[in-house]
Amino acid sequence: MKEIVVAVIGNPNVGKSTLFNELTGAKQYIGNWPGVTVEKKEGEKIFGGYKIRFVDLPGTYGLGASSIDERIARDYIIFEKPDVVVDIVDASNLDRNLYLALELIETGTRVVIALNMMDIAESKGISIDVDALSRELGVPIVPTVATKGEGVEELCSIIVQVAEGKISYRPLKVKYPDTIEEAIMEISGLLSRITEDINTRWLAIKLLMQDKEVIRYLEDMENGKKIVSVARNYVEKIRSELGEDPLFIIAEARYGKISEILQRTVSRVYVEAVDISDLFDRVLTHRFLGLPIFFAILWSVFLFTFNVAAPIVDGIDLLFGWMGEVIGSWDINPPLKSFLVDGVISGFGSVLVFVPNIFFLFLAMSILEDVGYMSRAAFNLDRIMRKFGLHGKSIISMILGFGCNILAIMSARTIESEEDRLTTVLVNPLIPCSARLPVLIMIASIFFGRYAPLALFSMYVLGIFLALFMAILIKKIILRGVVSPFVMELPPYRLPSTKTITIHMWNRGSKFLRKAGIIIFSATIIIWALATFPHGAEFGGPDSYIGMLGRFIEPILRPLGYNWQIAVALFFGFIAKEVFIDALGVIMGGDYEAKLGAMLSPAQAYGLMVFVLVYVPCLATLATIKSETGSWRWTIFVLLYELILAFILAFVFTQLVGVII
Amino acid sequence: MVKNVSMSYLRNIAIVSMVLGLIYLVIGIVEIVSIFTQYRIFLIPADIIGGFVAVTIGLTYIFGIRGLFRGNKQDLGFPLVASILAALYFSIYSLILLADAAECYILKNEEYSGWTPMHSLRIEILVGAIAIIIAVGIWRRIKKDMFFEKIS
Repeated sequence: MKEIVVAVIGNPNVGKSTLFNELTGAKQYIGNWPGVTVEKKEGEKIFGGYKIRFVDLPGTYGLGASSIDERIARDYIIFEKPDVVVDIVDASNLDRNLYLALELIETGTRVVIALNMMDIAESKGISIDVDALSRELGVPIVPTVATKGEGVEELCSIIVQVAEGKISYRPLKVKYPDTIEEAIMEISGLLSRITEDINTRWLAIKLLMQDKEVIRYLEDMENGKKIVSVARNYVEKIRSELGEDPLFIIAEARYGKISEILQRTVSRVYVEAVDISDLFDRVLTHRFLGLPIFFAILWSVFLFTFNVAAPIVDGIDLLFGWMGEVIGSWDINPPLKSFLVDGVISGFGSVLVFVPNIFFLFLAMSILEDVGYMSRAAFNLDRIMRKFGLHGKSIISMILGFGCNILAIMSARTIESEEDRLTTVLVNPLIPCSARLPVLIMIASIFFGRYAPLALFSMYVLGIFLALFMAILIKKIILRGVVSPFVMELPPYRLPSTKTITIHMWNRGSKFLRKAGIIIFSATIIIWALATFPHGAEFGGPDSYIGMLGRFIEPILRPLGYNWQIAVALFFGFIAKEVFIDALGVIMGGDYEAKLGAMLSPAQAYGLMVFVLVYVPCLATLATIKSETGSWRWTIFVLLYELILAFILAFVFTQLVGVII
Repeated sequence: MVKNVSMSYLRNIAIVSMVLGLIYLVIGIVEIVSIFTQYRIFLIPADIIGGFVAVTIGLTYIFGIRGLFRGNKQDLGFPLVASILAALYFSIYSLILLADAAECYILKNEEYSGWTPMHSLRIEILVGAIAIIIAVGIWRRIKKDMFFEKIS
């Protein structure tokens, strides 16, 4: 079966991941906000006897490669040379989206445009003459509505025809001012002597636009430096003759061409008298109301996660309790019985009890994302961050951190400035991820009764505050730099799609289940073994291996009021945060909640919540920090500062809450 | 083509916003102040964050009043968002009431012995029902009369 490789590209938030999912049957994460796809992802579709391999690239406005995700997209198209590039274009926002299309056409790749969100364009009264637009651009165009799966089959058919050369292909050539065209001719002539792989006209244009990556690429080639030098001379010549930087002249020429094309191919049947998105944004991004509304919505998420999920959680807890009693009554091998009752039921089961909370949280977050509210939340918080010299995209990463710090850290790739990106990566583990949720819920429900949601909410507010505070500190002291400009695109509001929400919730929730099945269950076995041996020691007692480990760590945490059992549970929480509960369940048995309740005062319990919130990120997050920073130094920095901060804050909050309660 | 929204409609919405805004403000303030007394007054519990939410909803209604009285249809966003927030909390508090009922009657949770629906019923559920009607009304009006203007 013949394989066709297709790169899927487009501006952020044009429904790229939705279309990719429709094309491949994948269940990739979709968000109604920019920056969801931060690395390339692949999927396949068998169509008409062909195997079409789709590669979903990060969203980008152009091929400028100013951030890591843009570089991933550009490098793939230029160096990997897919058979076809599908550029997904937002039909309701053509003037901005076609810029990338023009750039792609200039690279010489075979481009097919998927004119997506046709339904939204129609609802806004925009009428597009698709055939005329296709003729103007010289590339095939397929209208699609990714959310409904419309146009997907036709798109595949066009892809096959383009790959097989069955469609005549006369791509548009943007005509630049004569001085620039002369420079392009001269430079591309020189380039053709050293490279055959890359379209030399596109390379020449990039050189005139002073693209740092292209310059670096050419300087590494033989005779490349000479060509770069020739290009620099032309840049100076253009500046003196046309009085402006070639970068702006080229961009202006492209936008001019787009405007010309749109005048001939697009008309407005009617305009919205009241733009619904504007109507909502006027309030949700209001200078005074924006933030209180954000916190009000966040509070509703916690009530939903905690109080509404409570009966399901309690039901599962009862089920595990019953299973423990049943297995406890079996006449089987004692070590096996101990493993099943003390290890699997008490330890592993105590983590699984919180699965509904995690799914409820993800359900609420998915709805907020799909509706388009999260971008507004980021916009509101950006107002504050900007005052402290922080980059707005950091907020998007931080909000993603509520789900998983790993994904959030990777999303920082969209930040152009290295200092801003690093700062975002370094503070992200302070945002309470879903793994910390079960631990925080467990402690809150034992000690704070009906005030448990409030205690939990305060942890999230504290997490956000700490992340912002640390970011400011790091930016002011360690990673000083100018804040790069940030233009935030606010996507249109839309009614949440049940399919998208379900996929999103399941994707994130199932990650927890997989982690529970592999990491947490493995940890259960280790913890149970350490609690069982050496032979003759009381199970989970001070003389067991786990007891010895706990007593070794205990002196460090004694000032906070934690005994060896809590100390050892915190130690295992380093593998994955949920293992904290697992360890307590194994060591203390099924009634660990009652025992823990007797061990700590409410003030110490609050301090413990703060400690769990702040102390060391999990192993997988640390590994991601290492890979994203490429530095052990930064990884150790995160580990140390979080440990120290956790200790100090836990101590301070224990004292403070002790005074209040 | 377009039936321009009438001033009287916007004024009516402004008056309703004022009434609902004040109700939510009072509810919010009582919920916050009750924290110090720990008394549940009628259906208003002592709840500092719940109070903050009610004040936020009240203020959102009130912020739109001036513009609506002046005939600014863009300010319909204020009562619309406030009503959506009120509807959100109507749903959340109703779900919590059901969850508490499940704890008491199905799971027989000891902590819920002696619980009655009145323990979890909140005034926001009752007022929220009115807010939902307002939100649906505004939304329908926007969709029907104000959405599009034909280009001649």
